[in-house]
Amino acid sequence: MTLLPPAPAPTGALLLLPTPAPRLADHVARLGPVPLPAADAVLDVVRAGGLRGRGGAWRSTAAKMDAVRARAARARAARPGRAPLVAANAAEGEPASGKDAALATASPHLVLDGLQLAARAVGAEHAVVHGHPGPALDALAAAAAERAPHDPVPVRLVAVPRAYVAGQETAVARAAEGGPALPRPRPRDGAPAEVAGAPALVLNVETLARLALTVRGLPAPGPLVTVSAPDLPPRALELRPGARVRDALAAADADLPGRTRAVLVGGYAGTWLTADAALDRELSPEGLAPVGASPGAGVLLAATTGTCVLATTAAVVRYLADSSARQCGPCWRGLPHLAGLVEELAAGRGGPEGLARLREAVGLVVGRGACAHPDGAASTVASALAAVPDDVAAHLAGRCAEVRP
Amino acid sequence: MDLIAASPLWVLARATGVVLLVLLTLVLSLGVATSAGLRLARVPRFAVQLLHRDAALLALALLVVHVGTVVADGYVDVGPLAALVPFTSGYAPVWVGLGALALDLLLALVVTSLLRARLGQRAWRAVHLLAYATWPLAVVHGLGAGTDGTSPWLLGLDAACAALLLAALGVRTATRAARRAEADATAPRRPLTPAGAPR
Amino acid sequence: MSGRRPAADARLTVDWTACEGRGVCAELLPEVLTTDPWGYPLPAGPGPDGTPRPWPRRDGLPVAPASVADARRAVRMCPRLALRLEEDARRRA
Repeated sequence: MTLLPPAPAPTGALLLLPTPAPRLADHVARLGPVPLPAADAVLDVVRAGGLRGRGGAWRSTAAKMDAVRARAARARAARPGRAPLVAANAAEGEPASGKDAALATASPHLVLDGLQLAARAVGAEHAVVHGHPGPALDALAAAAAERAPHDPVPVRLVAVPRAYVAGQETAVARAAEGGPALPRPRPRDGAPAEVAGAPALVLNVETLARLALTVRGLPAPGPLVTVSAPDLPPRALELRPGARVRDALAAADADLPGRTRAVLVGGYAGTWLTADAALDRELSPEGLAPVGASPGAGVLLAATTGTCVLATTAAVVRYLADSSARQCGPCWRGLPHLAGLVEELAAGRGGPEGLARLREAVGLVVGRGACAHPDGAASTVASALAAVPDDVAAHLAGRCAEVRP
Repeated sequence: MDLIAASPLWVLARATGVVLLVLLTLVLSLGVATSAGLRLARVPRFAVQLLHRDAALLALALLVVHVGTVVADGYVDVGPLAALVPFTSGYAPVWVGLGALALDLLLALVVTSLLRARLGQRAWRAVHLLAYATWPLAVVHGLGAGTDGTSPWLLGLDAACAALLLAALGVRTATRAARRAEADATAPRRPLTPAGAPR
Repeated sequence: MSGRRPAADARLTVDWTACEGRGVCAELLPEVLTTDPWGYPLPAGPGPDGTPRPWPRRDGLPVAPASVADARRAVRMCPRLALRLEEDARRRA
């Protein structure tokens, strides 16, 4: 993936994506040293700040920390000396996302501040930085080496091959144990991921950076997004607080909002919205919930005039099918089946019977896997069918209304 | 086959031995069918599994009779210990020893299967692979240890049992090959090309 | 943790990494499970407009009290030990 350099935000100083990336001394001079209060104090700040996970799920960070602390207490009772692990998750397998790489490259020290704070909050004694080989991981590695003498909790680097599911929470835990970066079943859905019998607090790098700003009492930065379109490579942007979808697209390319027909919000495992439904929504879970979407990991993929939404969906679902870890039957069999049916529809073949089979195939993958990978594909397909019914009708009649040969 | 001359216990020992040959073949074949996930005609899979389990338990019960009658008969020198500890028998130590080994393995298979949920699938499976050693041990034991070992009718029965087992294994190999071909057909085409990106 | 559910309920969950789609569970629990085209378990009964009923990932598939005994049997007999039955919500916390 080629990632354009971060575009300047419309207003104000960039908190998350400063240029150039500061070294430790500049970082401390700019924001002050990171305060490391007691565990409960960190948690109080996190709770008061309403911090939520930016890896895509938007789970409450305080709730995650609470769960890890509770599980760690039980693990310690069973076997003393079992301390939880914290992980900075820089794995960004989503092809349409680049904000984590941009952030890690621009603000590695902010991320590592957050990692130390997270370790403090749950009483972790070791930390890992999990990511794909590349400039972002290099930046984090260099920063970690620079600050190692000052950091209370040692940080280890875990480099994993670029893969869609490599950043899933249990995959991070598995890789930290020396295993493959692939998801594995949890004892219960929503339970903390575990590393060798102890819980792991896995937080996205943006979540950690925000944690480091919140604890310093700095204002919360606006959303960090990655915008792309058929003629625009993914571009990471820091927007002003309260920014709408329209602002994000315009920040990437001034005339993009005007030529956007539909937006895949939240990435490959996201939700298609028409431009009318999406553009004036605030880029937040609350702003997008009324139209059935979530910002996910801040990914916006615009389908511009002349682009077939169904063809794009077919390519997305094929990519997701090819990205299956092939561990769970309904995923490795169901996603290629689903992709084939979307491809049929996009090609104007299949007819109403094919569409019925497609709807059935969506239902076949929902909820049936160790991770939510199949659910993501189902969401993208179902939302495409709902968002562009006229396109679907045209394809059933054998032609695409948007793309003329 | 001089049934009259021998003692009733010895006759029972021989008879149970022959029935065990058939029963163990059935157990192993049903086990192979289970591990392949095969449906036998309209018989549901759970019924195949139950039949496999029940036949194995019946085999164990018959084995107790088989060993008990040999030991009790006293016609040959096989003590209770020799029936359990391989190669300690006074009579035909090797042939009887193979039988004792098969008995031990069968016991291990049954006990671990009853505890499968607690042992976990992986440990259970590792032990259960011993089933493939149990059957040949039992067959060879039957060839050498008994009165009827090399009689044509028993050799014929041995061959029929082996044929049934080979057929089960063959069907399983074909099923697995078909499944692997299906898996290959859905394997990703590399390299992955992201969607919606500039071409 | 989940006070929204009566204590006496039972929920079926599947370890999808272990499941091989043998279909023994659906044979033993026809009132709760059916199978998809590949043999993997699927909630029985029709879903929204004829499509399959989606699998409730978060909470597991509810099992009516009358079917709990069959469900236990299905758990015991799964050739891959891929099924789990949580019989009491209070034990989940």
